[in-house]
Amino acid sequence: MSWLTDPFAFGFMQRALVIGALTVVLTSVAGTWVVLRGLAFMGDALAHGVLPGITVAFLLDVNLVLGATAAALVMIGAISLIHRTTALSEDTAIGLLFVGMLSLGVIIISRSGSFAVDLVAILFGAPLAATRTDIVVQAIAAGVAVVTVLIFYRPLLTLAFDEKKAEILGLRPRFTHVLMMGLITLAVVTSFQTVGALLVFGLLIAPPATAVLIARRVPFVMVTAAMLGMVAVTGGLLASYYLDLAPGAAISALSVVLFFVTLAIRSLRHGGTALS
Amino acid sequence: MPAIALLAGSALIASCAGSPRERTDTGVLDVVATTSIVADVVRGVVGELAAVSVLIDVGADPHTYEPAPSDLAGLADADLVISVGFGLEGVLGAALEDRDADGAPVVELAESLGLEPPDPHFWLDPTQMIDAAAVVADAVATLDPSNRDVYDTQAKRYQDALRELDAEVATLIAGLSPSQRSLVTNHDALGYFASRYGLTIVGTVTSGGATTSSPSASHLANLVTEMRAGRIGVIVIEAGKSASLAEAVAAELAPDVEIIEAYIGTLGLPGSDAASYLATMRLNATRIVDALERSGA
Repeated sequence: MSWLTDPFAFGFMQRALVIGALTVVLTSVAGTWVVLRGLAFMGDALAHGVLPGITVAFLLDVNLVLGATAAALVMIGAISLIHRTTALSEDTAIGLLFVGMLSLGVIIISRSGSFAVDLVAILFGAPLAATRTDIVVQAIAAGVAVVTVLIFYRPLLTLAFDEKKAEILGLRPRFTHVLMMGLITLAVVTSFQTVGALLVFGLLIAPPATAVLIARRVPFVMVTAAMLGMVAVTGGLLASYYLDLAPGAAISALSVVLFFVTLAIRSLRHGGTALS
Repeated sequence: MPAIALLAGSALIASCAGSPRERTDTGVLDVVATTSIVADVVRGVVGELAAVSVLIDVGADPHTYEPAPSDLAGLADADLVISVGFGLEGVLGAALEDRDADGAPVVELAESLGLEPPDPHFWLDPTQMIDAAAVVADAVATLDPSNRDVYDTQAKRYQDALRELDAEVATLIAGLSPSQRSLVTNHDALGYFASRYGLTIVGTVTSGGATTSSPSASHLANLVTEMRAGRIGVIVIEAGKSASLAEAVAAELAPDVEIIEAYIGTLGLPGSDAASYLATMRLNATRIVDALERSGA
């Protein structure tokens, strides 16, 4: 088993594993709602749309997470405004804000010129560069996400499957929707520096989507997603170690591969019948 | 596509009075240098005889630079463009080829100096910059033959300063013992510097030649192992670049590794202690030598 343990003799591998595990807990409890409620595009838009906030925070020498959070709130607010005041679909509103915010971020970077934010680092992150502080922040975020889901489980569950029923039951679907957005935002803003916007989006979608193929009840979906995510994180880091791959991309790719492997196994067991 | 970008750029520049790169028809030579370091040698050679503008702002990383249409327009209109080459100004490749196709002069210094690709960072060896000054002097004199003597004189003065710099750096490094002469860099940029002054680059934090490529876990693991075996105590990173990966490597070997910043692809901001080529090189050499001395076994 030394092939499994040797790579983790390095401190940067241990920290990458720990931050990956915490990220996976966070993205599994947030991502399950993303998958169940069909918010993937929203998640992607948030993961990339926080860029102007990060850039401005960097230039003003403010905490980057604050900047990212502010940008996420602007996005969510504007999307909701467009959705409520026009006949346009939420999908269109998300697309508008996604492109608008991402472009704004790139424009700010191009105008600031000197010693500015590294766009590539934001999009792809550097899991191997995670620090102890990053781990503490991610642990708090994961804790907040788990506690939030435990407290608001019933409204979240009802909203995920039936918005009308949530309304009738007096479960305040609008507030619950904001709460879901808050969970996604939390996952995105605390993760971009270490795992990058691309990887955090991958972990929001792929493990919960795979878990939905296996588990039925939502708590099991979350636990399964977290376990699948851990497999992707560990396997991705090992692949990066043994096959000389970029770690962030290896983890995201493996989480998607796990989805298709699970899908294939499921199809075989169901005798090749179409998925229901 | 570049042609369209250039057209758009020319339209833009017409409406953009007062732009620093607006074509001047005062008879003064209009030279565009791609990086602030290239601009330093060009300014040293042309003095007051030409208007020199810099494409990639001071402080920006040439590896990740993206030109604005006004930059491309400036490139198209300039009397002479002087670049590093070897893909350093990657995204400018097409625009420079357009100029070439039009017969407009473009000097790629790395190529003109007869260097071997792919490493473009020749300027970190002052003796290469001495030759670069001669290349620049020849290029401007070809366009403005009546001032050839002035260019030659100014180039000679610039070259003298570089010889002094070269001797100074050599003296600094001569004080290091053989066991103090190995270091690690963030990206593969210090090759010319190391071979000129007898230093050894043991490895790089990022993989490959770019400042942005994401290293694999095995790459970092091998680096840590080599640094531990060779008792390497210095990692040089580019000023302004994120040190987080270098810090992850240093943490592995703590407290024996020091991370220092050097000016690699750009000069420091005007008014800083690294505002000229000579100043950045002195600063780089002092920082590197001091760190190597402290690390030395």
